[in-house]
Amino acid sequence: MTRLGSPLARAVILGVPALWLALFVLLPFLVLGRISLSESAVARPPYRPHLPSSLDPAAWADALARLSLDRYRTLAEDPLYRDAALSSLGLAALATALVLPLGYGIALAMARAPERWRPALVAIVILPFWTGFLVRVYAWIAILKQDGWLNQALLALGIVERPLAVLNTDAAVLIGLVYAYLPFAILPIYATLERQDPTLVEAAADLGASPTRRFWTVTLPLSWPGIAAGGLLCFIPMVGEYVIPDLLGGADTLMLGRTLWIEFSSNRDWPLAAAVALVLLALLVVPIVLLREIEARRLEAGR
Amino acid sequence: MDGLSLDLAEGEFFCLLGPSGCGKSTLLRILAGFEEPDDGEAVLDGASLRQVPPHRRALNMMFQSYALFPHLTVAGNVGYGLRFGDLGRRDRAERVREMLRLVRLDGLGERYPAQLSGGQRQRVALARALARRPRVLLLDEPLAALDRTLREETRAELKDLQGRLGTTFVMVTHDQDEAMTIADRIGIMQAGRLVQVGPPREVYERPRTRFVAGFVGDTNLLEGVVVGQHGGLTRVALPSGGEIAGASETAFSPGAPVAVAVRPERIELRPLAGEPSGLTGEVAEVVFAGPWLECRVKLRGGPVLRVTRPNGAALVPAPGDSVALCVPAGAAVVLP
Repeated sequence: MTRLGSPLARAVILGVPALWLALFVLLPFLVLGRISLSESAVARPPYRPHLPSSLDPAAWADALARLSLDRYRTLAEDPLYRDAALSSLGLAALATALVLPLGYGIALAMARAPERWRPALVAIVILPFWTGFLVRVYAWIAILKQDGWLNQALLALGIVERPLAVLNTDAAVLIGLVYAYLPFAILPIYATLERQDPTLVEAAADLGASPTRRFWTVTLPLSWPGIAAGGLLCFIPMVGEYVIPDLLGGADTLMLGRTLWIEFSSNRDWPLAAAVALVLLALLVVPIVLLREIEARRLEAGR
Repeated sequence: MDGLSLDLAEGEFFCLLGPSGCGKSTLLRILAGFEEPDDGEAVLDGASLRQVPPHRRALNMMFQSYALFPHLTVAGNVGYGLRFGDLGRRDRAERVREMLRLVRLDGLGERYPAQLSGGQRQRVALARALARRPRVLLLDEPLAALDRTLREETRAELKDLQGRLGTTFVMVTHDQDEAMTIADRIGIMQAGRLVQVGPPREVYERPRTRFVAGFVGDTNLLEGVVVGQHGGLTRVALPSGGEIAGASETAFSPGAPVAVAVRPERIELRPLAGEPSGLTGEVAEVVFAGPWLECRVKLRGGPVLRVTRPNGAALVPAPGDSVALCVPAGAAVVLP
């Protein structure tokens, strides 16, 4: 048997993505790590590096001996950051819990639609990406504000007597998150549903399962990979979301993305901002790795 | 599908045989309830199945692709349909064990379908379809995905299983050998119509149309003209000279154009002695085909007949020999 491609070609194929990851993922995080261990200073950039920039072992030994984890201690001790982290995770979890059933319903309807309509339906789901994210979030201000469309509609229908204060609350952030990330939930779920073998549902029907039972025992369990992917694709960026809480949230809406921005720009505390960024990463890496692990084991069992 | 009527007998093994696209799978899907007929209805035990959804029909289907649930174990697959019945947990587990024993898969209940061989998967599909003890089992090309040796082995097992359970089996196949060896009755389908229904032997020996004669087994079709009918036999004159007498169900007036169907193994060949009279021809080719030899005999005046002889038969002509052909009474069928 002949192998496809020379060793060189394979090295290039594997090397390019590795190099890409090293340059644009690993290196930035190393830089962030170094900044997070530095001291703030009135300078430009506003910090004094603690770790040496040379490779001199003596300088490194000295720096490591005097290593200060103060930033991380601040993050652990100051309730502001703990609350921001908890509220980020909580809002993202709640929004994911809302976006998944909504996205699942839409994806299911798309997958059961006549085959010739499906490309158009997928295009409609992707359509919002053609306009700016910021513009679309701004549009929600017009909808949610005191005399916005939502309140006008609710008043006209007589559902409420006084306009609801939705804008600048966590509810508005939730609406924004669900709206903005819905396509990320729909597409992977749609992909798994569309690939599902329709004879499996027929077999379930033949064996006596009612339409509802067919859904719970066949369609849903077989679409777990899509649900997991969609959930992760929404949850992870939601935790670090900055634009939506900033535009739609209130002054008391605490989210890590926003905290990070405040530390970075208003407070000019780069080391603390870097530490927040790394904690955010750590918060997200753990669930990602865990979920992937569970998923891999589940697939292994199914093989 | 058009003007189709079929009555199934209790406990019989019925085969729907036809070329692909003839509507046999559609007929099966109508029985299962996946498709509604535009007109007409299916009736089970005297009750119409019109508007009865598939999950409320007392028949089960074994799918051509098996359609096993990949996220469930073998036991989970076999027991799936029992969840919707009135069996308790313990009875269900017992039934699953019984079914796995029936298809000789004892001890494999904890495996997943992806961990099984093709033959094992086929048997899981069969066990799953039988677990609910359906009145009728529908089988859509159940053996098509197996390799040849396994297919023939499984064929015998399937027949044996059907006999033991006494369940009515309706099987769709395009493989005439399969239909012939397994079925109590065969229904031949052509372009959405059921053209002939009968026991395998009858369908083989007494085909009613040229299509059936050509589709079930090998056959020689000879065009000719009716000379006369007498005592259930129709005499047909062939353009190449000579006459053949064959059975016929239809009445023909003399001079009517007909076809005579003769199976290759029913024609006898004799060395030609003296003046040629009756059906004569010259052997063009003799091909060794394993269990039999196939002779191609060119008749005077054009048509080539295929005549088979068992391997080791005493009288096998050689190419170039002149031969007299003899078709015993009852071996030929005259078709419109």
